[in-house]
Amino acid sequence: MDRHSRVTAKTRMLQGSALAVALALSFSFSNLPALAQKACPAEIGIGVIAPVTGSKAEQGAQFTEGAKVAVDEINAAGGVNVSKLQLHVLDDQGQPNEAVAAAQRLASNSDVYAVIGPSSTASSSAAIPVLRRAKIVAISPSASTPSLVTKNTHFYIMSLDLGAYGPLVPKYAIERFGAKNLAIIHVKDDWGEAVTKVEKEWAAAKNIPIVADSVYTQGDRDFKAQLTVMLEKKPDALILNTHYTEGALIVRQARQLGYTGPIVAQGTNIYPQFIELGGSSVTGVVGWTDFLATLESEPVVKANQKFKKAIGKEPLQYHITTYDAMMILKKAFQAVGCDRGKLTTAVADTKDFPGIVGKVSFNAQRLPEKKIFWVEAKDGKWALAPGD
Amino acid sequence: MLEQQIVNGIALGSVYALIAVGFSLVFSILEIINFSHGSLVMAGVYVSLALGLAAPRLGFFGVALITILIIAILGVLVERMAVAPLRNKGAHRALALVSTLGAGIMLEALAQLIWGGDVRPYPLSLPDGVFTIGSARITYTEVAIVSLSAALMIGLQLLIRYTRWGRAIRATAQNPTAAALMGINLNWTVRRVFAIGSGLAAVAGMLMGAYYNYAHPSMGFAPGIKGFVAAVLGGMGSVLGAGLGGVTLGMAEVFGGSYISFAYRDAIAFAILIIIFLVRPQGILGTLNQEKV
Repeated sequence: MDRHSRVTAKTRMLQGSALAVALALSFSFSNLPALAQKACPAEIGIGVIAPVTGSKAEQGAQFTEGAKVAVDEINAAGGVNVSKLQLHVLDDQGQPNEAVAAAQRLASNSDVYAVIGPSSTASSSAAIPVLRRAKIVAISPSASTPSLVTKNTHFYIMSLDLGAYGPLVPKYAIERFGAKNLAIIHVKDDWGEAVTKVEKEWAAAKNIPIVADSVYTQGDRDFKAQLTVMLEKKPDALILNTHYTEGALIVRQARQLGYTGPIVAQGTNIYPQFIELGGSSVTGVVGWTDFLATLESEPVVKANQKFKKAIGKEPLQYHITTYDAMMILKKAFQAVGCDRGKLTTAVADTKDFPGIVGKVSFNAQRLPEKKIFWVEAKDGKWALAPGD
Repeated sequence: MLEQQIVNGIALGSVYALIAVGFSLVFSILEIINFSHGSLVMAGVYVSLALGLAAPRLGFFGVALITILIIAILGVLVERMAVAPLRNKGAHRALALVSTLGAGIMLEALAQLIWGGDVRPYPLSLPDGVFTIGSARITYTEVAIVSLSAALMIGLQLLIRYTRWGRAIRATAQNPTAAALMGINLNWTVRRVFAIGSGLAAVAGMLMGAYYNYAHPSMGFAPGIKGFVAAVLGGMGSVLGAGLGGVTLGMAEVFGGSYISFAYRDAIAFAILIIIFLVRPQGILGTLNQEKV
């Protein structure tokens, strides 16, 4: 026997045994719908594009830990059909160019069917074209720009989109505090400009005057000049389109300048650090959040127990959104198998999915609909506020 | 509103002024710019934060004294490691700018390594309270910042004018070679200047920490740049100039923001500075033919 025919014989033998295994499998599972699905590899790759290092490392850790808790739980319960989930964590440092590189590595791996991430709107916009070409479905636990989703059939977000949550804050200020006019301070970045625009459009439609609208640069610490100008207009309520560090400093300085009215904050402020930095001056500040471990509601207590057991600490917001995203992916795999074309429609079909703190649905535009909590700074922590 | 904005500008400017003095002192004697100065301000915040948490019984003043001492030593270390070797080898002065910038970045990374990269509240606070003058509300902390900055700058000016140390510093600033021939130890004079400048950086840091209730490893960078600008604005090498430069910059920020646009607050402030430099290139109190300190 020459070398060529030996190889051929070996190949035939392999083909034969593969056929036998396939036959055996199809007999043993013939009563399951899995037969109609595109089969999955023994290990289904799930990419995680997260800022593991860099200034957003804390957020990145929530992605990787949340994903790991979910995958361990899924695999311990037998995986998806007969396959196990396998995480491929790639660090994008919160940088769009690194996110593209990460997406390319995942796209070139034929075992990767879905991605968790990237974290920000900028990183997501950069990575989406690469993922789209490979038809990989991606869910970002933290991005909130609706056009990312509506313009890309394979992309989803887990937090409420900006168009949905933006108006909630001025609405709350008017409904709970009876404000007749509002003042807004916002951070000068893409997010700050976008959310302010949404709020102003909402207020204009309702004939609520915005008497002052001021801006600061990320990293500023002194806001007294802005606040002095704003408070001169005697607003009924102050709205914070800020990040938590600056938000806390702004409240402190506004109180020092004699402002005693209500302050309503976007969800970007609702972190324990806001209260640590603001001290007693932030008491009474109200805002909304997806999740906060200190809330004493039943699903939150359960989530705390689950994460305490798995990672030894209480979960943060993106632990929860990442975990939920992974569970939604699992359900999609169960429904359609490893079929890149069908996975995204399976995710889009998510209706009343029992998320860790409440039901999650994707609406007709594939944007998420979910419960949020209204909270108020009280006695040094966030507590449920009226309206929740 | 005008009165309140003047208060805001003076309070903001006083911190810049205190930082500016450190730049000015070092420049006057070595003609180099110590770009680690902003990081020393940050180090002052964190060292006092750690001391305040570890030994609350020390009280504000105990913590402040120890912090000033530690940061002064740290400043001398920066000089020994990043400035003196270059000077001894006769390297160009511009190199010291790079090496001190490097030292500053190292300090920042070190702080991040020890205390983490997240913002932290500052545990020490000055008495809480507010009083009003006209339509302006002034906090006790603002009073403390302005009066302490002013007192330290006046004290430093007296030290430089009327003590042997001060005379040595002035002599070295005017002519290092002649000063050395008169028996003044250049190395010790330089170390003293770094120690004093860094001690002031520590005070600026603690005041910032108490005023804003906030600590972060990169918090020294922007004030460092502003302090440097204030020093140049006031006239490099002049202590009182640094004070004036700081307050001018603070006012430029507050009023530029209020009357033009907060979106370009820094850009407007710096544009105002460029105009001042076009009129007085030597700075407010500087002289073109430098007679420094």
